[in-house]
Amino acid sequence: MPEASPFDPDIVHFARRLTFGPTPGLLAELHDAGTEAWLRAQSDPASIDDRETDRRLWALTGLGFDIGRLAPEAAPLLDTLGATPIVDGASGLLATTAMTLDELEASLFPQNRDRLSRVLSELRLATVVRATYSRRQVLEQMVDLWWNHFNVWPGKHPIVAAMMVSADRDVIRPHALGRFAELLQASAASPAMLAFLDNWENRAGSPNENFGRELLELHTVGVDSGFTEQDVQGASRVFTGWTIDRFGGGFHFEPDWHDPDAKHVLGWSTPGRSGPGGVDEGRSLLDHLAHHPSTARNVATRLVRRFVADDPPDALVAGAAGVYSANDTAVLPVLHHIVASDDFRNSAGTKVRRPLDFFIAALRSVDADLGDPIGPSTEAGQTVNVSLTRLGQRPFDAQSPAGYPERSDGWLGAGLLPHWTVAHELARGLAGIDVDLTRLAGGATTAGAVADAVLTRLHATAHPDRRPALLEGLGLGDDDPVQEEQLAELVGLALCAAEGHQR
Amino acid sequence: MSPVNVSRRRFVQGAVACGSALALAPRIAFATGGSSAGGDTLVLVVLRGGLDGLSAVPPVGDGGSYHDPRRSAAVPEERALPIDGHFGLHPALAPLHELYQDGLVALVPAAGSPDPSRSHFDQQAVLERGVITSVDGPVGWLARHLSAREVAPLQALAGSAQLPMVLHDAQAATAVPSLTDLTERLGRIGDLERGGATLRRLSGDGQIGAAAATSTAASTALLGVAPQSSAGDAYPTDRSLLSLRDVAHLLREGIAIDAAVVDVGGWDLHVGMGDVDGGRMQSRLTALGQALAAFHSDTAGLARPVTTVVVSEFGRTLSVNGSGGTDHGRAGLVMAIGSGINGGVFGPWPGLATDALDDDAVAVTTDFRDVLAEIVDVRLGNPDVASVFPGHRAAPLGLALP
Repeated sequence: MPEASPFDPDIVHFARRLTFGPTPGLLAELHDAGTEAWLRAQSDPASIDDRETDRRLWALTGLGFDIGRLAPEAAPLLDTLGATPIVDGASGLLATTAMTLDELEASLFPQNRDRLSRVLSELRLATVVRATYSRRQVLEQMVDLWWNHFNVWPGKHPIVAAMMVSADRDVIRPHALGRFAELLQASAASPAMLAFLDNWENRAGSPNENFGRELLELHTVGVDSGFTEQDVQGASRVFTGWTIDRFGGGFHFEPDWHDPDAKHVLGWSTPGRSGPGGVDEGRSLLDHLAHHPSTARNVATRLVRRFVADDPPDALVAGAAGVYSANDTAVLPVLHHIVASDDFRNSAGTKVRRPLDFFIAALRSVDADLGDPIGPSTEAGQTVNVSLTRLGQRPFDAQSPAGYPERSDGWLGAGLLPHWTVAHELARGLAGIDVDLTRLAGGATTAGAVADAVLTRLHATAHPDRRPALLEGLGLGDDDPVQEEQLAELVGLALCAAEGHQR
Repeated sequence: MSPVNVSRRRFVQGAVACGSALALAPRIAFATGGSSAGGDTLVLVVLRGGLDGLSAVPPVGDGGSYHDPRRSAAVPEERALPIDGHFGLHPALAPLHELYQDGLVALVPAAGSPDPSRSHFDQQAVLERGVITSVDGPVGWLARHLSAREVAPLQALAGSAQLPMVLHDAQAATAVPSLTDLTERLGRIGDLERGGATLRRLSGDGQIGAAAATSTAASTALLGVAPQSSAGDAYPTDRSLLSLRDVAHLLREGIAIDAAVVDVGGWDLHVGMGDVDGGRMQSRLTALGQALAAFHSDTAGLARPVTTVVVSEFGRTLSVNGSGGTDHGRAGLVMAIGSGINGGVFGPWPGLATDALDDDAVAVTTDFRDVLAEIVDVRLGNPDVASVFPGHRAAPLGLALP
């Protein structure tokens, strides 16, 4: 039998839930600081020195991408289209509001096609790099959570793809640990969301309901809140005129498109407004929805489902929703409430890692080196890309506005074959990702000691049967020496142990 | 005219042509096992996003009440491929039209759920759970059907990386988003016979252990399949539709698959559907028609018949919106294809008169579960449809041949 784990099980559980996976360094930090103080420090990510992660990102220049910079290149094409600028519009940019998504794409592409595609690949890779290496782990957890709450699929259209970096950098990240009401405002006005849910073509007399519906159903009050078709239609009319500035690529409110009549949505109403002030209707409705008790419940459910259980306990959701409302939609107090609950403490080992979680935890546990520079075209970058595609959870590939599922049913039911192949490739060094196997063995030379060291390094704590399963599976006795090839197989198998799948 | 006879003749020819492929089957020990006995293989194609049935099977007989609100997105009567005098098929579905003329395609143009919601998620959940309220046992209706069958490796396949809800809680389901890719990489795990047992043991008990057991059986089965696809190459390059080619290959290799689910996205066309000659609708339907016809041609001769059912969570509004697309509607199209299908148009058509519409959408006159229940009963050989669709009293339409 192996020695009992040197780690406090509560701390290991905490690390599995609040981060993308335990590492020796993280566990030591948690032991030293205590989970409460650690979480408080995580609440202020700017106070955490993360220069090491920033350094790894240096070659991903696309993270500074701004579609506005492409705009001058669009101007000559507008000339050929014969578009006449309307100089008396609010912004002077309305010449192009007649442009369709395809025409806008034609004006920015094809000269930028490769560039935009590379920017999106870099964003995907940056997401993985940050989840793997960042010391701001709670921020990364919440960024992932909100991306799935406000999901945008870049495959909808190249213009959506071009807006993704901004959505990540300017919408999700700045608000991930802040107030939900502000995140909601930022999301609704973000070009990525405006294009993904078609609101940018939503105008009086010919409303497009796509955004209005998902706003109620997914982003705010939720599908079970009892809203009606009339509420969807009302919300859709409120957001008529919320569109994209065809030159700058930012948010633009077009008063001429806005429905000036009265509207009613879930207890909120407006007599109707015209002119530039019409945009305030949407802002007011978003604020109303953010503070709605059903939204409190919906947001609380999402957090509890992420951090505690696929089937959230009612009482915990109710308590968390109360904290959300009492704190003016601030998310961190909700998170603290959830983590302090008995439900959280008693749920160890019951959540299953989604494929992204499995992959990132594997990278973290073997202390994988993604290389320098890190980029989508390096071998490691390509491996990250194809591995996550095969696992079915590459960032930003969820087509549905509902994002990737949080519950384990769909993931686990699909089987573990991609997990197994990815784990073995990582351990065998077939992936272009450097893993120092000898270091994982921690200087141990005999099979039993190697198995103990690897299991502890990878999973902190492991069920007592994992050790004999590994040794017998490899045909090794306790005191046998371990060949390099056997060590690779041992690490590959150990990554696949049940603990590798548990959050 | 005797389209059914034509289809029977084709069936026999196909069976002869495929004899050589079937002769290879016994080398896989379980290929002829119990699971294949009785009942068709069901291939469920789920068109995610809400297929516009009014484009796929335009009710040209409704005249102006169809054409006017559809404006340029309408399929003109003279362009629709004729089927029964009232409906036509979109010309992009020409390959499917041939199968229809052979009597192999049943169309239910006003099918939907009794739930009035127009939410993707609500209606996909109803479609996949097969119930309006909660249910005991497996979540997905297909999983409930499969629970009555003997477990087999690769008994249920998903052509996507995630398991669709219709298969949630299935006793043995495997995701195979790309067959070639998966089998190639499985070889890298090393000695799978020994490794598989170790992987199972390392996975412990519980849900992870259960998933591991399914996956080790699946990997063994997959490694016994010829790497070179035996299916034709007339499939479109659309990744999700290529899953149909993988399923065809596995079936031709003699793998006992009870059910395969293929998700095909890209139907939520709120913007820019285009017209009959071009645009997103035309290109999506072209790919779909090619894939379904190629799949039928690859599987028509197999000893175990294949029934393909095409569903989507809802149809779309009759009127074109301000963006040249359509919004979420109610009734939509369900299609069933196969040698065991009685070709034709089924279910009452409510028409498109203003008072017949459900808030600018086709009213639901056939519960989609009536179609599925009949296929489960008649084609899949499971008469216990009350357990598959609890709470629903199924009314057969007569689209499945006994």
